[in-house]
Amino acid sequence: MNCEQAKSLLSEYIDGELPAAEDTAVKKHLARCEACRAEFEALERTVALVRSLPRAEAPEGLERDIKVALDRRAARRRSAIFRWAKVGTWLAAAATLVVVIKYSPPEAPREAQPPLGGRETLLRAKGSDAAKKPETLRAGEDSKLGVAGAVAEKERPRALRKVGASAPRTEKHAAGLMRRNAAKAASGEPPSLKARGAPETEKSAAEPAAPARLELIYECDDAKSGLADVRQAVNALHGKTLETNKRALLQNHILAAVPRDKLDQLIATLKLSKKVQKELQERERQVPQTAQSAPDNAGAQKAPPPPVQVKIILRVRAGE
Amino acid sequence: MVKPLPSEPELLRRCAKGDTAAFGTLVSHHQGAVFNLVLRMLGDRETARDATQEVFIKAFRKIRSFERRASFGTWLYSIAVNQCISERRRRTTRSRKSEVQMSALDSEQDNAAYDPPGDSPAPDDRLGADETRRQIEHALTELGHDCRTVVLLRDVEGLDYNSIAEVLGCSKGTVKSRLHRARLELRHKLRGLLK
Ligand SMILES: [Zn+2]
Repeated sequence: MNCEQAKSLLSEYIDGELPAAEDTAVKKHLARCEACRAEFEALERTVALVRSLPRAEAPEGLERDIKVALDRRAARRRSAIFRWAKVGTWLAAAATLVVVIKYSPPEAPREAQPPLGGRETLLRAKGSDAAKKPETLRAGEDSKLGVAGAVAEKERPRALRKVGASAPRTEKHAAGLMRRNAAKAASGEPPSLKARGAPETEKSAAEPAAPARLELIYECDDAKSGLADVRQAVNALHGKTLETNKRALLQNHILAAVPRDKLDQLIATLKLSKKVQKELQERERQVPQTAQSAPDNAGAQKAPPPPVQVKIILRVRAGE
Repeated sequence: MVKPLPSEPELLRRCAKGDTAAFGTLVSHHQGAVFNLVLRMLGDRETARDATQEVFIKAFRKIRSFERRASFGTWLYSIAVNQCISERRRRTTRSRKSEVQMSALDSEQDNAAYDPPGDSPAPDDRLGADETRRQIEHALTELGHDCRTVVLLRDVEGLDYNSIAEVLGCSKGTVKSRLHRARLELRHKLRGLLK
């Protein structure tokens, strides 16, 4: 055995993983070759150093946490069929969740766009859910609250309590939008993204139910940037805008699908206050409810909140 | 009279029927090894804790696919290694801020995350031992992922070459060459300690 062969086998030799014949050959070589012996000793000390590292004990409570997680999982599995039914509902809702942007050009119509001021166009969602739901249309009521109609659900999204609070770090764009609004508020400028008639002072209002469909006004300085803001907010919340800018500008609204669990954050981003929620409740009573949102308080208490449809109406502020 | 601990095959049979209590016994027995490996792979205790929990949850979920020709411990290690790979992937797609935290692995604070050795030597020795440990840990973090995994499985977890090959799903020859390469690299990095 030459030096090169011996050196290549040193690691296995240390581990006792060599077949007997090779093991003996390496041993013999090391006995007569000082250079290889030095190499072997250095390697052996290296291995000893790594093996000297202390072992970490499993953290306190890890075993319990694993057990809790497994038991919870087992419980979930027992209601798997129920959950799959929920998923189906969720998907239907995601497909029909609608954000409508509406804007009124300040003073004269811009560019070659048709005159749109004072008229609202609400687009019906394509999903079956939306088709079932009654739609309330308003026209020429730009000065009023921008909530056109809503169908009630039994539960109110928790995050509504945190309107204006900082968004989770994954929702960077939404958070950025909110920060910009906060900066504007600080400088006395009205926020660019807000629900009309929605003062921040209404925070102690009674807990409203989450509407099945919201129609909110998004106020912006111009339609294009407003559209961009909404796109950004929707994308940041892992939602999806469903129409091109061209189309959206032409028809005064954009459709977007937003995951149900991101709805709270969308509302927060849009600065929808409880005043608006209250108004929605008022409107709910006037809007016939579908079978899906029919009162069933006992069931709704236990089950996760049902899907929600949202419409947001965009308005271009007139030059002041 | 204390009921004797059921054998591992018996526990596994019960787990396959969804018995979480039986699985709890296995968790109790193996959590230290899994946590130790994951901690050395990932560097910080909190991440390692979450990853270890995930390893056991995955193990329970896949328990029926466990083939008895491997040991349960080896199988757990393979889930753990995969969990660490996906955790690392997740990390690299995270923000720069997180990367900074990761690269601070050799900082004083991060090393405080490791449990001290069982025997507490005199303060002076302790200081030297801490420095030695810090250097070894740092050298390990500088190894490539594959090399580090092999070294940890062999020299920290004490697996033989066949078991390592099973854990990694590679040949024994690959284990040999990776381990040898990793040790040569470590020898170079730790030359200051090799006197
Ligand atoms: Zn030689």
